[in-house]
Amino acid sequence: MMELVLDPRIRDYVLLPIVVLMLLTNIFRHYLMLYIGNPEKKSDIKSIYAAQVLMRTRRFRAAAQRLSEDAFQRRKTFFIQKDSGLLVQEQQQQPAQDNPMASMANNPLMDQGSMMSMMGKNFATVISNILLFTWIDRSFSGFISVKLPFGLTRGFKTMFQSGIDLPALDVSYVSSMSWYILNVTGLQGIQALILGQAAVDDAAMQMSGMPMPQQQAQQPPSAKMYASEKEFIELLQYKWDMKNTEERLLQKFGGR
Amino acid sequence: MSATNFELLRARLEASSGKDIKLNREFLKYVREHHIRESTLVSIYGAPLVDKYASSLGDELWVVLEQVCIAALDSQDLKLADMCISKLDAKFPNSSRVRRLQALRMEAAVRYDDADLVYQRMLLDDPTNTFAMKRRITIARERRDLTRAVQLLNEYLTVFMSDTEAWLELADLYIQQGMYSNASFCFEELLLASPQNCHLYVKYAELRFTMGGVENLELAKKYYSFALELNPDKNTNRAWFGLLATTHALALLADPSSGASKKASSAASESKYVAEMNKLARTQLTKNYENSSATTTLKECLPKTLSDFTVDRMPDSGSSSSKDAKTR
Repeated sequence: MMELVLDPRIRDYVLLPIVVLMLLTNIFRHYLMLYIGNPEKKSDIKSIYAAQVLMRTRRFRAAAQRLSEDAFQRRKTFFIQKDSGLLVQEQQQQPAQDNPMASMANNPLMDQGSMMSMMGKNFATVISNILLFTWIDRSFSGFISVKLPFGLTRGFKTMFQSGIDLPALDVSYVSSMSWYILNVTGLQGIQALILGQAAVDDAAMQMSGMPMPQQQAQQPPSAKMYASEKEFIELLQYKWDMKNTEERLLQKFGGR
Repeated sequence: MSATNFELLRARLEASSGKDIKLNREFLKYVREHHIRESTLVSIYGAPLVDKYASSLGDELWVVLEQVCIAALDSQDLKLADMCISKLDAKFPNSSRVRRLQALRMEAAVRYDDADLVYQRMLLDDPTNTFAMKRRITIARERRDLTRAVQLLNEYLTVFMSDTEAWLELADLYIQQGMYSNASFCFEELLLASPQNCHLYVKYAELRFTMGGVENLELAKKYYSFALELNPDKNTNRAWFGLLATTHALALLADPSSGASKKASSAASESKYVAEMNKLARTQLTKNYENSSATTTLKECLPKTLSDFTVDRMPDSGSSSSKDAKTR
């Protein structure tokens, strides 16, 4: 395989400018986002309440056998009594199952405000990516810019040597487009140093395209979850842990 | 481990008598991260940091200002608190965090109505502001208006029902007012939240013991025993004493000549293992005190105390003799 020597001017006028430009766009975009602002996620009292109800019922089911029978029955009724039980009330307040749009609307992740800001963020990233991509494609195509230090298989040829039509060329020699793609991920490290870790998390989030919720907030409980909790509690049998505790204690200390 | 670290830090601090600025910063950071409440120390060693050496703190200054402000309010150093608030306000006008500090400042100056108004306004803006809710409850408590405190706390718990600290606070409020059955409901919530915490069982048992009556004494006996089952080795004297007192009380109730109603008497005599538990409690207590570092006077008092609560045999509910349960 012949060893190609690349003109150092490629490095000066192609590689470095691309890196610098990408860094600058990222920094610019970051500060732009800061100024556009992050709407604070206003917690919704209803969703907090709903989550807490479920937490409480789960705790109850886990440790119910430590309560006296009276306390157990009282709480069981409190949660599942027809029409007035806590779980029953919550269940009735949820929109019906055959209305997915309504439950979507209730979903705090899809809140109008946060949706807008997320779309705004994505928008800026997408636009800048498209612009850079087009510019590089137009200005820097048709020649080799980098030799990758590792070898690749033939399949990557079309992807990495987009403007170059040399079937015999070693796949390690790639076009500037692939240099751009390499930089998209590679610059996150330098970005972290310059802008702080938060910027990197943001960028990673946008790349993956998934809105990651800030808190532990899960989906707001659906009527189904309430129904299943209700069933669990209904089925809960009372078996007191302390029924024979005196005997066990006497046995334990009998030998001492 | 963190207790010893803290002690070390504190010793170094006192040795340097506050001249070492880096040490002060380190101390404040440690207190922040571990949520320790040492307000006197923080205000003493934090004061020079926010005053003379403020420029050396950089961006940490604002967090330190907030921390020193709260510590100053806690140690009633209102001048220091005012200085901190004015600096924070100058940097962050219209900040909700600064408003919180200003409201706390009002509380420290006993301007409860003004502070309460501020909190109510905060809640109008954001109904989920737990800080404001809790402060309102504290204000009610400070004014000795326990009924209002209970009402506010109940409203808080209607939404944030898995907040164990709040249930503990509510239990305390109920106990202060003698509303023991409400308090035991709160304790049950606490038990559900931390079923492995043996101290909760002891407290619950003590509550039931206080409420009195055969059913409650039975429950107390069970819960004391279970607490000892969970933790049979360390610091068990409280539970053993509890068992001692409960078994003695049950024996008293079972004794018809003690003045208890017939119903209570017969119910009490059905209680199992009373005498055995009593004996076990006495043995264990004697053993524990023997091996302990308690004073000699205490050790000498113990046998008399134990004998006062001795139950040799459960009295029959039908018998008229009262020699079986010695009374004081």
